[in-house]
Amino acid sequence: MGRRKPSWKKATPLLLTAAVGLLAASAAGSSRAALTYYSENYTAQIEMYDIGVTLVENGRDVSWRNYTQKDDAWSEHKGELLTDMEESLQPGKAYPERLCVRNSGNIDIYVRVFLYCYWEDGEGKRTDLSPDLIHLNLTGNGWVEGEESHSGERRVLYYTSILPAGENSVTPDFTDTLTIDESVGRFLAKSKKTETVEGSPERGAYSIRTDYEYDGLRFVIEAEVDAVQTHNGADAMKSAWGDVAAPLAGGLGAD
Amino acid sequence: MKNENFQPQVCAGAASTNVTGAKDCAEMGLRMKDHGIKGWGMKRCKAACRRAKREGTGCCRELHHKAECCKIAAAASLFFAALGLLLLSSADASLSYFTTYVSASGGRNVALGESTYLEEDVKPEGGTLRKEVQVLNTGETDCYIRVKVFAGSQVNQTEKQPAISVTGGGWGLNGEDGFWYYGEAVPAGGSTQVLTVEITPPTEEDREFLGIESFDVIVIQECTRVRYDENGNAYADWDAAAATEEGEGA
Repeated sequence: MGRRKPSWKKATPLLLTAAVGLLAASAAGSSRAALTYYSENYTAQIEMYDIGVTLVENGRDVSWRNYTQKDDAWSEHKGELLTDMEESLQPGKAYPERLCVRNSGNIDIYVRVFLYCYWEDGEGKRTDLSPDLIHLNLTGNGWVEGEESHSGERRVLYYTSILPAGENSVTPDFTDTLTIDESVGRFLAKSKKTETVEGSPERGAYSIRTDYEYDGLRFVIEAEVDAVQTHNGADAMKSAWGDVAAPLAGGLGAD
Repeated sequence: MKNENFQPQVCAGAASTNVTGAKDCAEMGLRMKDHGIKGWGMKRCKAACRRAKREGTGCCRELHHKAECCKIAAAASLFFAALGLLLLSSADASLSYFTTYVSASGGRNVALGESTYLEEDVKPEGGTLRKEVQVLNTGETDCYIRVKVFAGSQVNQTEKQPAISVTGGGWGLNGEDGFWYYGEAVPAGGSTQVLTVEITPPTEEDREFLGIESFDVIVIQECTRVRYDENGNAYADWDAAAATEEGEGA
């Protein structure tokens, strides 16, 4: 006659099995996945959540940083702005500078942009020239300037809507033109201005040239794009961006 | 005899379970210390049970319970540790959100200086001189250009001056200042259309009368870089123009 194993004796292997199961579950870590679809063949499609964002200038992808589940790596590229412009810009002339953000991931995101403008020369940043002389015109189309903005040197823009996932999900342009203020000539002319006349009257040709000596002075603009998930948006934004009063239309998503 | 160190609260569930074949230590006439146990470690409990079975003295319920409790307690500890680990990992996941960032920068110089180059080509045609004037913008900025043509100051009698006729597509004369203005801004690297100056020199008789053997026809060119008003409309600021002049003898 077999003796029945006491039920409490069964608890030990059960607990051990449960513990191993839990450990295995915890080891899955951040590679979270959602089972979204069952086919009739009982195969499953796993949807991976990847965040990604791309800075677009005049229709050209400049920089991007996209999470890829493969090898837990980021696909990223850092490009350069203003490369399709002339080498030297004329004061007062408005050059097209259309900047916007594209959602290059597969989850909805909130985005904000930091814009920096400043002058520099061979020795570094020049603080004697105002960044206000660099006019990066803000469109205000769907974007709102945050309270953290500081004049022309640093501006913070929030896209007031969710930027949904999707191949062609792009924000409206947050800037449209770039203009160097006419008055910059007055500041630069202070350094040194020379005029030369060259040529040979005998050959019936001569030239006149006016030069401003400003030691390689140039202006620089920088754009930084931050993106954060919209799921648990309030907490996510607070965690990633701190206590900011993000002016989002319809408030933050709490889903 | 029950051992005082026995801790039923640790294995209360197991203690209430009926253990078939096990008897109270008192019933078996054994004391816990008879098993040679000094501590309550699981290994010792198991060892004691194995030894008791081998020696045929039996393993009393309390000891058996203790050994099983130790196993359950160990498994429970592992279970709760795993559960805690899982909770920690999920808590960590809930505190880390999907975020990303991207940046780019770029810079350019500012073009301020003007640079123009005036080309002249003088051709005698019959009794006249034909001078073709063209101005090239060799600078980095778009420029407005104007030109003035006049005879030299040594010909101070108006009626005896050489006749000068100026024509050119794209050029227009401003009667107030006497300058010929090129109608459009000349882009960097571009040039104006040709301005043609036809000069009819004084006759020999007039030269003798004026007491001159030759005279100059002077061309002044001025350029100023394109300025823009608040609305982005281009305009010329001739007060800031750079100028030079050149004469042509005849």
